[in-house]
Amino acid sequence: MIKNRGIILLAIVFLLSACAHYTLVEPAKKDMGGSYSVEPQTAWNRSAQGKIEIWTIDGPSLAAVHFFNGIGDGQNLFPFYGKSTRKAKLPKFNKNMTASEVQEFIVDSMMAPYQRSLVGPNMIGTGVQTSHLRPFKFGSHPGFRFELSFLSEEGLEYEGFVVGTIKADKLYLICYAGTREFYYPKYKETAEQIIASIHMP
Amino acid sequence: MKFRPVYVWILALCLTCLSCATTQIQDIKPGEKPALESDEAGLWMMMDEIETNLKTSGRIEHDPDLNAYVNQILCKLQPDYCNDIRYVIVQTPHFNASMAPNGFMQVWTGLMLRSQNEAQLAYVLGHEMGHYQRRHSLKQWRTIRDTSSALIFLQIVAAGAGVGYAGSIAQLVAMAGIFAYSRDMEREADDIGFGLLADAGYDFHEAANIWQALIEERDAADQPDQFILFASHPTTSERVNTLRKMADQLASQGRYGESYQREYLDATRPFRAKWLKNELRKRDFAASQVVLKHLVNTADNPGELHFYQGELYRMRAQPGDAEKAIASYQKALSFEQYPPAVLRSLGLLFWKARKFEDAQDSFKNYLVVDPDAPDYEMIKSYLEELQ
Repeated sequence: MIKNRGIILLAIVFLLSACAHYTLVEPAKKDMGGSYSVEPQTAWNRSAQGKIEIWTIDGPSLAAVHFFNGIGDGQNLFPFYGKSTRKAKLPKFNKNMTASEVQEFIVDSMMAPYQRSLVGPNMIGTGVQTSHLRPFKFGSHPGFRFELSFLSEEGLEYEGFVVGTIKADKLYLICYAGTREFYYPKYKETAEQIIASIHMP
Repeated sequence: MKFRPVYVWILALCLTCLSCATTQIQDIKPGEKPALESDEAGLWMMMDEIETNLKTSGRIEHDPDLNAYVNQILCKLQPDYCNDIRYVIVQTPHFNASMAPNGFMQVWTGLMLRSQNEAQLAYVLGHEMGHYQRRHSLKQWRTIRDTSSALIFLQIVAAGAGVGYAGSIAQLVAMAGIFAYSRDMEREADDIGFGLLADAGYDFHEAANIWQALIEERDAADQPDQFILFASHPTTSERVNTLRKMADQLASQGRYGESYQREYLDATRPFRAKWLKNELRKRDFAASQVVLKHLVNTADNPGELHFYQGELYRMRAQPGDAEKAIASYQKALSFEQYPPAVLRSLGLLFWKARKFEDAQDSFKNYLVVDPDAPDYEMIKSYLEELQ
């Protein structure tokens, strides 16, 4: 019985620690890990896990902007927990990737079997489809942009877009995604405004 | 109605109160439903909830033609039970099929990718129908009910029904493996599946062939423990030998059947590229190589198969793989039909190998062959950079 109580307490502590803590992002210039800045026009709720920041207004499973700030050579896109043998099978970023290969890296990471991610549920999906991969200026730095759509494990339809660049061998991405019905269109212009405000020297 | 896991625990109490372990379990008859007060009805109720959840999952393949094709195989195998069996095709790159006690079957796309003809898929489906007909899950439930395993069983069901059955592959695996049958049950299902296969006019030699191919894949794999089917269906050389002997015996009596390979390839060809891409995403390249080898042997749409062979080498990226990938892409281009993406992949590898003129030629050809390419502007920018 005592042992069971211990397990229950441990489970509660684990669940609480897994809850995201949000802080307010004011509509003002915001430094992103010292590498670049953005200037949102509205207030967002921000949570952070390592090199990933998640900004949302109504909740990350409805619509959110993910900032991946400096994925290094040989690193996975998402934080991972689970058997290390499975981690070895997850896609890894390579500093010499072309934009086409980075797109493949992102899609494969989203669809990786056994993936267990700590990031918002709107970056994990099935049947990920991409379109319109094209050059994009990430601030003043050459980068890329593409659109994507996918289904959650529960069958909910999502839409989104990704912009990114590789600078000093590190990958920087901004991904906006939301439910196709209502939430994606609701915040699309706001998200577009964020990427239009990127300042990367 | 949202299923609440607490119902599972209430149901568990009811199930454990019912006395039925001593009764003889008969085969289920066509159209038969369990008595409402029985533990079997409780099992069916839980599985009905799971079935409802899974049917709305993002992993389900809804294509009407593919579903109609699988349905006609099931009905050909067991016409009397055709209306009792329901199924979903689950987009998961592992070899598996499973049967729930209520007649709800999962057919995974990894199984369909690996089946080389209709007879092989029909054998696996027949095997699963054998579990249903013999009520193996009910027998198994009564065996585990009084053990600590019952707790694990109910936890899995509660998780599956309460938070979305198809929440992850791990959950799918857990659900598929709930009824890890005994070896005797597996032998029974083998016998039934084999009998159904032969009676439906299929080539019964294919029963052993599909297990044999799977053993070959497992032996090649980097991570043999990832073979989900082996958790619930211990596949051994002994089983393969038994099925071979049964086939030889029937053949000696003058019986024969068709593999229906052409029909199978026609039905699955539109989906194969998607399934192969998902197969490679597992990044167990040694196992996927075995799968690709068997597919290449079918010589069906070889341009596509050699492209994915090249993709395997490109994604594996071991020393020497870039050269092997280029050779596979060039082989793909030697056929009349090939995916336009061959030219893009070839261009990328030439670019990395600093063969700039070859890269330019490949990218230019890609844009000509696929003027509506989803990455047209990006490839055009590569060309500008190369110039």
